[in-house]
Amino acid sequence: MRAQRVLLGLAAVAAAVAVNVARPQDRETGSTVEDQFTLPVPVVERLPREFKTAEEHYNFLLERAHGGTKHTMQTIPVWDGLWGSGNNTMPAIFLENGTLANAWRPGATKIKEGVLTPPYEQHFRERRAEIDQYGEQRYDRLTNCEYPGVPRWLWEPYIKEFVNMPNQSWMMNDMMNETRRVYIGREHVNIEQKHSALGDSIGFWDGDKLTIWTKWVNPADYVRGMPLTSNQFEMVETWVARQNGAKRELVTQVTFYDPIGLKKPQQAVYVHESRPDLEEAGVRIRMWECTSSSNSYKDAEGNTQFYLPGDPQYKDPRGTTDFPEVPGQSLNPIFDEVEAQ
Amino acid sequence: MKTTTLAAAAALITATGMTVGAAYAHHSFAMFDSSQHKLIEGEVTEWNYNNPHSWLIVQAPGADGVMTTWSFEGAAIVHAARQGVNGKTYVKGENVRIVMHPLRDGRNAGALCFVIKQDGTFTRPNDGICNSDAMYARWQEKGWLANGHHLDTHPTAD
Repeated sequence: MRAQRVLLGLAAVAAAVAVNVARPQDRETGSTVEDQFTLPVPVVERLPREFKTAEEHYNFLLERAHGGTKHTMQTIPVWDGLWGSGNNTMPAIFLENGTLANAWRPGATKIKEGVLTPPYEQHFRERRAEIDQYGEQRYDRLTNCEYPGVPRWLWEPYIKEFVNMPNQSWMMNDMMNETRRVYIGREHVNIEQKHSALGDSIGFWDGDKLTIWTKWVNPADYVRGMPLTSNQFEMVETWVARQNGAKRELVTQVTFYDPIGLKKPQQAVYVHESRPDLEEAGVRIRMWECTSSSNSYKDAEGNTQFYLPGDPQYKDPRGTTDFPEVPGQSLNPIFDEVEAQ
Repeated sequence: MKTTTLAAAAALITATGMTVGAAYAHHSFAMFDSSQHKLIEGEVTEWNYNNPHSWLIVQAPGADGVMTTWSFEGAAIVHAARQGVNGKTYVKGENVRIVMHPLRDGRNAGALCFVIKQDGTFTRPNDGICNSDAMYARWQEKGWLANGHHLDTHPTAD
């Protein structure tokens, strides 16, 4: 009976398509992930001089800013609304022809020699060889719901919000619910005596420019397909808002310090774009339900795979809680109420 | 064995001039066969508009003709939203036509490219593995939609 209903319905769909050639529906022309690759990106600013460590770099900038601007809630720069990732120059640190557009394209790039230390360059070669052979890095830590952390946070192509206050700045990414907290005018603190995905960030304002020093970061990746970072990775960022034609942008100049992974500090620039179109589409940051809804995993051969409905390990993201016999335990009450006419 | 299959598929991609491109998502797309598209016609049972990925679940005949569950991965909420898709786009019981990259291992699942709704509307819930506008144009140009049937399979490039 059900099969008959499905077949009748499908015949109707096929007829509709055959008679009325469907047109792409109207939609916003906002940038897709791929569009980001073509967006203009500012030049990397020359540092005032070379610094051996992030601490030296940060303290130089802090001294130059005379201890930093003491903003109030009335004067603090407001970076409201939703923001999407734009382009960045990070791949050019590690790859010849290293644009974001071809960073994952098999065979499109060549590794720059002498940027990474030998063990990190060797690992990077193996990672790029995998991309060339299989078309993709076969497994990525995100697959298993591991936190991307920093520096990866700077680009991950989802949505972000920024809240600046005189004593803290909050930088929120919907992806993995990662919120960076930047403690303004404070020293680094680590009472846990451990590293973490986002590390510890302190900062100061110099007028409308926010400078951040981040340390105690877990080893991770610059992004998928790019090199690993070590547990000695630190970074100094400067953030400033600018108007680029009709667009609001946040431009981030970053210096990466990693005495284990990098032969010397490296710089890149990242851009975020204001996305009022997403706000108009009703997008709001919700919980990133990776651990409770993602069914991707790393298989025994090192490939990314899925558990599917019917597999014992499958997690139904719209099923019920552990108490299905109790009324009101569906995770999907809105969808369940609506049926096709 | 699986590694050999992946290597062969990668070689095919190169040989056909179709690059995987700069696809990016929550995880690798290496488990999907991006060299081909398959048409699935079925009835929606679930539309999981979730992060880190949305999933469209339908009931449709398998290769043996027996009704079974098919699962298709799409983009994260924000990426689908900017392509005009949201949690109301597909409803339970709706009949849809799906063009997707199948899993290499042959299970009844794949990566969404585009979906034709019951009323004939073209929708793009896809993630970065598929250029849905271009592939939709290709399927129209080739007549694969107008004359297509469930489980039809076509290459993504000539």
